[in-house]
Amino acid sequence: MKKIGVIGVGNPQMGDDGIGPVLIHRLNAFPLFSDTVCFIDGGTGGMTLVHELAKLYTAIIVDAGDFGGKPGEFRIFSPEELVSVKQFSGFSVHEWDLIKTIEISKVMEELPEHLHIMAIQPETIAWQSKLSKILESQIPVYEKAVWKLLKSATE
Amino acid sequence: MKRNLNIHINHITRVEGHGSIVLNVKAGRIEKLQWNILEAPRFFEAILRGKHFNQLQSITSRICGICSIGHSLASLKATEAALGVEISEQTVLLRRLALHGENMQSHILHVGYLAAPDLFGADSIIPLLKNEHKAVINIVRIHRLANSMSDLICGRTTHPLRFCVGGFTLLPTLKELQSLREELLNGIDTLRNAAESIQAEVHHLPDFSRETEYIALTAENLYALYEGSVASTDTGIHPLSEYLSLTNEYLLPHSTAKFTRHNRESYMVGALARFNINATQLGSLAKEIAARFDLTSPNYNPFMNTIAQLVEIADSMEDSIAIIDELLARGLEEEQPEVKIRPGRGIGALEVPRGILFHDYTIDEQGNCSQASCIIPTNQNNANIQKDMEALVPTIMNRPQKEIELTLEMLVRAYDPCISCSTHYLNVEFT
Repeated sequence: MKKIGVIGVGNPQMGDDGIGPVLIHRLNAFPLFSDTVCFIDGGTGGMTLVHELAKLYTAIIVDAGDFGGKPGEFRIFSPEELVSVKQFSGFSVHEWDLIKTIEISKVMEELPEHLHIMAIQPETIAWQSKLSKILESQIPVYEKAVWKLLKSATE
Repeated sequence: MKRNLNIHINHITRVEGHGSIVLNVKAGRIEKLQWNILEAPRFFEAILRGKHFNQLQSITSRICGICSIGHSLASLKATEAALGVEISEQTVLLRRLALHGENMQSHILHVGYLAAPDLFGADSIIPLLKNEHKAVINIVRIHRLANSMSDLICGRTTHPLRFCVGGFTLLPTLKELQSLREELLNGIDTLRNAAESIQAEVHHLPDFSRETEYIALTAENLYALYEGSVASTDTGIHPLSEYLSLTNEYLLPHSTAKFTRHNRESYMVGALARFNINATQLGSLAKEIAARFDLTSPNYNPFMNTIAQLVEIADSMEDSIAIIDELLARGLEEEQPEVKIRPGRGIGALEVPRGILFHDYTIDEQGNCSQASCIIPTNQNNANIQKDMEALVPTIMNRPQKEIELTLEMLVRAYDPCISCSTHYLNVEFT
């Protein structure tokens, strides 16, 4: 049976780029309220994400994304919005992974029925194994936003 | 008019790792043509020293994210040879299955994602989504099948968790094996369809030929991957104990990676080398795919290495089904391998996707590794890539510069080099 999944994308060795996996490890520490929910560390994924998306009915992808917001701010996009935003900004530091992954999943007819992309505006993308202070301080806010999406997905 | 060329390509794309080529042509004369490998050494052999024998395979798995299963298995074979550990037939069968999973994973990654875009005239697999989406779907499906196979036998798709000295820490269930068998059977048509798409474009592969020495494992009764003696097309069959005199690693001032040579200035390892030595032992499906591409042994066109990989995917699928049938017939038994510490030296060799891989360890009285040496396939191919370029460039020198660049990049890609694995890099520079 297909599941509801949260996929964190990024490299924790590159500062705020690692917000996705960092959040996944935080979420994994909470007891799950449903066995149909899973948390996936997508790392710097690439094609692996195509295979992960194929297993999901609803997917929430968390990634560092430059959507022109303030550092630490987040927005939730649909795949269609993501493509249009990408046309006027660099958007994701995992541009290939995310947008191309979504394109391949569409061609494979495996795109989850519901897909949300939670983009978090980074402050520092550089060789460091910790988040910037602003993103670190916002983690409870991001967790709350993910739980809210999960709750509505499981209702 | 005599040609001058001054081209510099810093990064060759669609290879694992980084490297450079330098080509200087003045008045039609090649002044410099060099395969440069600049990536920093990773010192894995030094890391192994002092480590307990139980740790060696999990450390060496990290040499490579593509052939981690192969490095783990070569490491286990060397460790077991040093300690005198006997392994069961069941373990051999499961390890062969794991190696097939990796062969399929790595080969389809190269054939489908890295090399196929050259055939279809695209920069990457992404533009193919528009006009060649059926080919992409088939490639992704085979990749998924290979991933799930590695996941089942090894515990995850990369960096195996279930291997240990003497056997496995966790076995798949018979039900899981049965399910994998079904997936493999269904995958055969997917592979045929992928081969059909690639066949339609294979005429884009350069028509180039340079005979060289080919080296691969060979065995009496099967297409050798996990075990066998070392065969050379020049000098015949050698016992594994002679591997140092077969590889002869040496250093060059411009490279951080070692090169090797045996009977000539260079030799080739990998799918085409294995095909040239062991083609008669391929299964019927692999022979069918080879015939589709008119690939017969011996073949001296290095660009056909990609097609030989496609043939090997077929063989891995077919042999995996046969192995699963055998495991299902005999059943699976939990084993408690007996491992006793004794000092000694052991050599482990097997065929990983890019060619023959050697690990050589010495274990001391405490069970710690006191010496380690790993000879990686890409190192063994470096000199052959250089010699191929030297033969190829004069035949294409009068073509447009972009075409020369692309052809040289395609040559490198054909070898499917794992530069990070061998701590090497590629970069093309024409000045």
